[in-house]
Amino acid sequence: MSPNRTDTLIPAIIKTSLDLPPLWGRLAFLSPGEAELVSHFELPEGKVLALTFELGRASFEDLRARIKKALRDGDGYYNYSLVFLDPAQSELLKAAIAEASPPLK
Amino acid sequence: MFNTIQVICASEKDRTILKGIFRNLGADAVFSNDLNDALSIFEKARPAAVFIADGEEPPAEIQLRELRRVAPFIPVIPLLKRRDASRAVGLMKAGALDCAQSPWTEEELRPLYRKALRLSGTAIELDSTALHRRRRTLALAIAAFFAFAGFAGGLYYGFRKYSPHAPRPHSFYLPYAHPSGIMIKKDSVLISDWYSQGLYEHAIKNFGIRRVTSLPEMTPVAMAASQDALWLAGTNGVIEKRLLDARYTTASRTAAFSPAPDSACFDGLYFWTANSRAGTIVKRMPGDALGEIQTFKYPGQKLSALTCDNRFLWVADPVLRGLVKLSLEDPERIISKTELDVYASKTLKITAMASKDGTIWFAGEDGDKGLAFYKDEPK
Repeated sequence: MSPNRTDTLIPAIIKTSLDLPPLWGRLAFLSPGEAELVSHFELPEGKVLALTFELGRASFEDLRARIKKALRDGDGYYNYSLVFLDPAQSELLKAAIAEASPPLK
Repeated sequence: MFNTIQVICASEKDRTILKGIFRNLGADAVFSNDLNDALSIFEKARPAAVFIADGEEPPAEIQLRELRRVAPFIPVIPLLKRRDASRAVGLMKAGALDCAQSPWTEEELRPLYRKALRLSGTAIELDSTALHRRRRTLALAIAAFFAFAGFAGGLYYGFRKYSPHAPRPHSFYLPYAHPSGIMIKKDSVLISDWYSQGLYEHAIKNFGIRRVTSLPEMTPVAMAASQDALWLAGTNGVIEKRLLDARYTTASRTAAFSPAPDSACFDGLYFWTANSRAGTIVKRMPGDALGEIQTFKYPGQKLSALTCDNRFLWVADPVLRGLVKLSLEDPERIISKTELDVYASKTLKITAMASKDGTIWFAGEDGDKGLAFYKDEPK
């Protein structure tokens, strides 16, 4: 994550379980199949999350993803590599990304 | 790292908690009661980040908006009083960097504080590599300088201490060729020259000329000195007593002596004159007339110059090629004779002598040059 762009990254609500209040973080990278999440909350590798965020005009709620890898940076923030689990949700995400991305010339 | 942060918090209890936390984090926290208070000191405090306690008036969203209006790029972190992800994300969408959850602890705030300070702008750093290179170069240059200075100082010290001292010259060539009398003062040497009719005062160290006094009315062939006067003997046999003022003012004159003296000295009690041609030494009263007490025959071979101190008479004898010491009580008795190596020069003719503090001074002619030199008094 580029530290000087942190506050421009997409904020996201992170649900870890139905019993616990949600957490939050920012998406540093987003693709139809994978994402990178930055948060100061610690989560274990392998945990399945549900992400809620907005991308352009589209809103995504409870996109299921698994933490593939977790790395802690020097400031104490965690960088999580995520893999989206639901292909249907990934398709929706793909369309939203295509819409939000600037057209190639 | 610039560590000033601003905390907007009205609650005294929360302030106390936050003060402790930020102090432990190493932050220089500036507290404000409300937004207006914060904005009034914002320019002065110039914080790297702003932390807003949530749940106070005005709401965090308004404070966030106003702060970003003043400083669009400053990291703002609301401190939530309960874990509310929706609100956190809402504030983050409104421009907050992140949100802290309750309870506020050092562990909870540390990553936010550190990230916020890192976000405070483009990291500006001097070219530390070049700076370090310059510093290293400077340090090496200074070390080299001191090493060289120490080496040079040691070398100089060693040279001064262990190298043989250059012998101080014991003889000096004179810029005139006919010295006739010599007198030693504290730090100068006074020499009379008969040909140029002048008195030359030389620095005793290097024999540089300090002063020249012209004697147009007389031709000095001998000179003697006491503490407060000097005597100049002319070619006509008259001896003049002169004061030691700037112009060597004449104090008295004697009648013309015959034969005319060509050496003179004062032993502190009596006045002595000598004539080299006749080989005679005359003991005189020290009055203005320099009345004769007794005449002595020089017992050596040839008297070329005479001087005295309060113990002995000293004569330069070119035939004996040495310095002859005579008794003041009986000048016709030679006490000792010491060879002078300067007589190795066959052209040397000693014409004047003086004795001062155990040193015998000589002046004379060596070929077409005037010469002055001195020797330690023979034991």
